[in-house]
This record gives sequence, structure tokens and C-alpha cells, in this order.
Amino acid sequence: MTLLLAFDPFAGLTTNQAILLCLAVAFGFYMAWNIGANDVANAMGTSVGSGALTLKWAIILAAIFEFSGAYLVGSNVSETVRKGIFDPIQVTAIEVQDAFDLEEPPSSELVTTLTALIKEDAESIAELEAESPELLLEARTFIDQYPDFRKVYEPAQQKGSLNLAMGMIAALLAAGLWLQIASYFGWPVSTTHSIVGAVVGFGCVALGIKAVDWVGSPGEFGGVAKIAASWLVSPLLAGSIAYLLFRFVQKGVLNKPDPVKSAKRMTPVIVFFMVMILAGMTAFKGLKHFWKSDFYKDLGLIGSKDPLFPLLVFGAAAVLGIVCAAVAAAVVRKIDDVPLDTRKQFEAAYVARSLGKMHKHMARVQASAHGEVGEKADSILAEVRKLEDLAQKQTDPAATHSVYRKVEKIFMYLQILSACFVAFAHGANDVANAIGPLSAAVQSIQDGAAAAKSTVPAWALLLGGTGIIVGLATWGWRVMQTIGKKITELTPTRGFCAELAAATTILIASLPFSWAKVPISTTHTLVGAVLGVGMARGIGAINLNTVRDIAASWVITIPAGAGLCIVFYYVLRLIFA
Amino acid sequence: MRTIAKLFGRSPFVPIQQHMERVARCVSKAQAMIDAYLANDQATVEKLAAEIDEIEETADHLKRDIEHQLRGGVFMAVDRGRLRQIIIVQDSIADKMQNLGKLLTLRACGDVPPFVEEFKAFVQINLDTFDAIRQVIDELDNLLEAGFAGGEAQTTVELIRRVGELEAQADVMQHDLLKQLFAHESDLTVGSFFLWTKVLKQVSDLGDRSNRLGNRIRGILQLK
Repeated sequence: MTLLLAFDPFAGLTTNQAILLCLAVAFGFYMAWNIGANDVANAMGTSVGSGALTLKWAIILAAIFEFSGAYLVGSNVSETVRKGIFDPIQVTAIEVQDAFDLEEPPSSELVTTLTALIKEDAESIAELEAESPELLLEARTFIDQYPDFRKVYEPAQQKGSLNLAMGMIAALLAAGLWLQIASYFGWPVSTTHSIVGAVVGFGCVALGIKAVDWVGSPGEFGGVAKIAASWLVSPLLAGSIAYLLFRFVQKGVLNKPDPVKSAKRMTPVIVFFMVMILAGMTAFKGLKHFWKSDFYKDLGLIGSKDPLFPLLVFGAAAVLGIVCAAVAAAVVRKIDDVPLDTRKQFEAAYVARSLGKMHKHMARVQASAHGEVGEKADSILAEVRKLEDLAQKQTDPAATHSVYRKVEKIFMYLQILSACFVAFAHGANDVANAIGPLSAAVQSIQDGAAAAKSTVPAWALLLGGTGIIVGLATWGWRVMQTIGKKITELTPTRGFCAELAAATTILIASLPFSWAKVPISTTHTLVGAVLGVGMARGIGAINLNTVRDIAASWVITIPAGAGLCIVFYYVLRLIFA
Repeated sequence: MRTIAKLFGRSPFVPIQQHMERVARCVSKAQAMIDAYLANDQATVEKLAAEIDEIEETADHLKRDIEHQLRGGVFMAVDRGRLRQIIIVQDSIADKMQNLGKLLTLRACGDVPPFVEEFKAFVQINLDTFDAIRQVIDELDNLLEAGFAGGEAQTTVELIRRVGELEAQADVMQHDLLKQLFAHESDLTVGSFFLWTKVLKQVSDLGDRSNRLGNRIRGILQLK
């Protein structure tokens, strides 16, 4: 209790600012609730549908992995939603331009420097002195030009930061509302598209269309175009991965002479890789602060700056992977081997197939060979034919059902794992949709200015993660239930391939590299993955109308999000400005 | 979001199996009808023929439904045209049984023809051919599971090969039966001679179409 009382978020704020802060938190939570209510079902729905998980366990696992994904890895993408579409500082810069009657808005760096000077933020000033003294000089000359600088600058700067906060709050409300409307009517919209649309809308009215970063800076692809391109690239990438993965499962398991044995052999390998990727991601990104903490330093282990450190983390992840693989191996060992006669039957089919190939090749030889070789080929071909007939007579078609059922049972375990993987990746990627605008709003209210170097506060990630779980618990389970019944077509082998492909793609997009770090659409990535499995002849029938609907929803969602956001922004301005 | 759930069309394999179930009912009624005909129980023949009519109609509806819902494109497990061929041939089996029913209601059998035992064996082998192809249709979902390749496809090929063998045997028997029919030419009235040739044709069509169905299914397999 004392801890809570000591933390006063409203310290030094006006009533308006305090109300806006509450609104920001409330709408951020609302957005996170929406994500949890609608999107999470995608991760676990398939497992519920195939009977691998009960609804209760699906919700528990989804909650755990969504939350850890959001909390541990979630901040990477938030930066892009916050700063990749337009420069938030420019919102203040425009107010400064107005106040001082400048010809064009000052650069963001200048605004930051001015703010630091006016606040007499000694730490920032010292840093600036060291890094860019000319900027500091420029700022000081600027201040000297105006005798009553402080009187003019402070209100402008506060107005700017208030505008930014209101814009972000409007974006959260617009995206959240649009999502709820869309999911009520069953339109396939994406949370990511809604929030990006809303933020773009705010950028257009606050700064003008030109100020929105449409294609990135010269020489570097970025901005809205990069985000939009990722919406095309991510389903394509997921589709390709899913296609290859399913072909691999087909060749390596389903079409093998003994599918059950092959599945058992493959399981630990798959588990190893999945756990290693998951652990590696968590360690590099999620525990970044932990490595720098005093607690870790006091342990006297290898430092996070040490060149050997990544190797160590990699090794630790590999060890964890091996442990989990061993557990997986023990679990699948419990599944009975296929009875001998069934296996014989499968082997006979394999023999027959090989003989069929031999037959084909021999026929080719016989057709083009002459003389003695031709004669010999003739007789060998006849022998092969006889042998093939004999082998085919040994295959008994009735015995194959139970084999596939067993393979599916093994893949059920893998599917649970891949569903957790998706939940983790989804949390990491989609929490940004709520947290990015929220943290921008909160920061600009509390600092009174949009600081250039700002991090996503941990409590915001916590709030986002909690919002997702609350959404899941209040509404998401119902969606999961209905989805689960409808997607029984995604049997464990298919579900596994699609989910693993989607999760890999999403995690790539939340890697801490500048070329990655894009908010992609989880749902559409999964759709791409399912189509990939379909292309590998894995699914009976695919309704391509859905793909058309998705394309249509892209066209609608961005303007809708933008329009709603603009409306809410002006309403907020009417009330608070 | 329900997008993923919406992504799946109705898999055509279950409806095809349902259609096959109706066709199989027609075939088993036809078998009972032939027995009744040979026992000169014309009332039962009429009743069974009417029942076949009814089942054939539901099969027709189902066939039309399946054709409507078939979609094309690279994302389908099986090419639309090939599935259509399968369902058309399968439906024609029910048609043949309906034709047979119509023929047998034209007139009573009267004296049992001298080749009745051979005829019964001929009917039986055609039924066996049909049963074999029915097993293939029942395996379709398994085939989908395995992606139409590998051991499962191999077993299907083997099943289809058996269908072919049975059909070849049936052809030989049909030829023998026709020979006998012509040998007894003078013992039969023109009407019953004509009717028997027609009946033999319809029964042999059962095996023929089953074999053709097998060949169509072979087309969807991925054999290397």
C-alpha cells in the first residue's frame, strides 16, 4: 500500500492532464482488451478444435504465453507504432512555429534541446554538450533572440504535448471501437491495421499529410510503406514456410514406411528447435534489463557486454532445448508402436512403391537400349514386373487408419507447443498496438513534452499484458469455442505446420533489428500459413473469398481507423484544449 | 477474430462419401430386386424399384450440391475438374441401378432362364467390383491426411487395381452369358430375349462404372 501511495502519477499535473492520463490508461486497456478478446483465439483455437486441449487449458496456456510474450519481448514493435509513422516531437514543433511566427517548424532536435534547456535538465544538457555542441549553440542563440522566450515557449510546448496525448488517446479509442464494430459484424480486420490507420489519421490532421512518414527517409525504406509492405510480405513468408514445413512433414513422416516411428523420431528435434528459439528470444530481448541489473552483476558471471555473452546465452538456450527434447522423447515413447502387421503393411507399400520406380526406370532403359543390353533389360523388366505384382499383393489397405490416428496423436503434443509459440509471438507483436500509443500519450503528459529518447515503460507492458488476459477471460474464450469447432479441418499435422510458420514469421518481425521491428498482422500471417498448407494439398477445401475479404478490409480499415481517430481527436480538443 | 475459421471451405470428401453411401443403398436394393425378380415376386420388385427411384433422386441432389460448392485454384487438395469427374461417374452408378429397376418392372420373369446360376454369379462379381471401389471412396479422407502420396496412395492404387481385375473377370463372364443367351435363343420369347440382353448390359455397367471411377481416382494421386 505504501508503495502505491508513494507512486503518484498525478504529481504536478493540471486537472485536464490528470483526466487525460486516466483516459489514456483506460483506452489503452480497452484496446488491449479487444486484442485479447478477438485475436488470441487464433493461437489456441486450432488446438481446441482438434481436441488437443480443453478450453480451460487453452485459456490458461494462452494467458501465460501471451503475457510473457507481451511483457518480455513486446517493447520492440511498440517503438515503431510510436515513432515510425510520424515524428511525435513535430507535434510540439508546429506549436512552437505558431508561437514564434517562424517560417517553418523547427527541427525535432532543436525542440528537444530547447526543452532540455528550459527545464534546466542538467543531465541532458551535459550529454548534449558532449555530443552536439553546435545544436546547443543553435538553441542558445534561438533563446537569446526572444527576450520573453520562456513565456512564449512553455505554453506552446505544453500545448504540443497535450495535442500529441489527445491524438494518441483518440487513436486508441478509434482502433478499439473499430475492432469491436468489425468483430461484431464478423469482418476480418486486424488490430494492427486499425491502430496504424488511426495513428496515420492523427498524423495527417496534426501535422499535415506531408509530415507523415510515408516511405521512410531517402536511402532507407521505412514509414507507413514499410508497415504496409510487411502486411503483404508476412503472409507470403508465413505461407512459404508453412508450405515447406508441411512438405517436410509429408516426406519425413506421413509418406514414410512407418509414419509413427518417423513422427516419434522427429518430435524431439522439432521440440529442440522450438524451445531454443523461444528461450533465445526471451533471453536476448526480454531479459535485457535483467542482465544490466545489479543483482545479475553481483553474481559475478559474464557481463552482457562481453563478446562471449551471446554465445553463453545461445548455449544456455540449447541446453534448455535439449532438456525439453528429452522430455518430449519420453512423452512420445509412451505411445505404442504400431502393431507389427500394420507396420509390415506399410513397409510392403513402401517396397511396392520403390519397385514401381524401378519398373519405370527399367522401362526407360529397355526402350532406348539395343542389342544384348536391350535383351537383358527385357528380361529384367519382366522380373521387376513380377516382383512388383507380388509386393502389391502383400499390401493390405484396411490397416492404415490406426496409423494416421497415432501420427495425429503425436502431432497433438507438437501442436500444443506451437500454439503456445503463437501465443508468445502474438503477445510480443500485438501488445504494441495498445502500448505504443499509450506510452506515447502517458509520456508526453507526464514530461510535458515528447522526449526524443524514451522507452516503453514496463508498467505499460504490464497493463497491456493484463488487458489481453482480461479480454481473453471475458470474451476471448467464447470466440475460441466457436472457432475451435469450425476449424477441425486443421488436424494436428496441419495445425502444427501453420502455427509454427506463423509464429516464426511474427517473431522475425519482432526481432530487435531495424529492418524487422514492424507491427505485422498476426491474423493475416496465420491465414497466409494456412494457405501455404493448402497449396501443399493439405486441406480439403479453402474458401478464397476470405482472402478477398481480407484485401477489402485493408482498404476499409485504414481510412476507417483514420477517420474515427480524427473525429475523436477533434472531440477531445473541444473538451480539453 | 473468426477469419481463420472462415478460411475453410467445406471439404468435398465428406459429401462425396455421403453420396457414395446413397449409391451403395441403390446397389443393395438392386441386388434384392434381382433376387425378387428371379423368385417372380413382382410386387417386391415394384416396391424396390420405387425405393431406388427415391434414393437416386436424393443422390442427384447431393451431386448437384457438391458440384455447386466445388471451387478451383491452387489451394485445393484436388483439382476441381477431377473431382467433378469422380462425382459424375459415381452418380451414374445410381442411374444404372435405376434403369435396371425400370427394366425389371416391365414384365414378370416367368420361367427362370436356364443360365440363372451363371447370371447370379455375374451379378455377384459386379457387386464385388462395386464394393471394392466403395472401399476406395471410404479411404479418401485418409488419402487427404497423407497428402495423396506415399504408402496410402500406394494402397489406393492397389485397391483400384483389384477393381480392374474384378471388372475384367466380369467381362469374361458377361461374354459367356451372352453366348448362352444366344444358344437358348429359340427357347425364349423375343420379349424376354430382348429384356435379358438389356438386363445383362445394366448389370455389367455396374462393374464398368466402378472401374471407371477407380481410374478417375487414380488421377488425383501423386505417384512418383
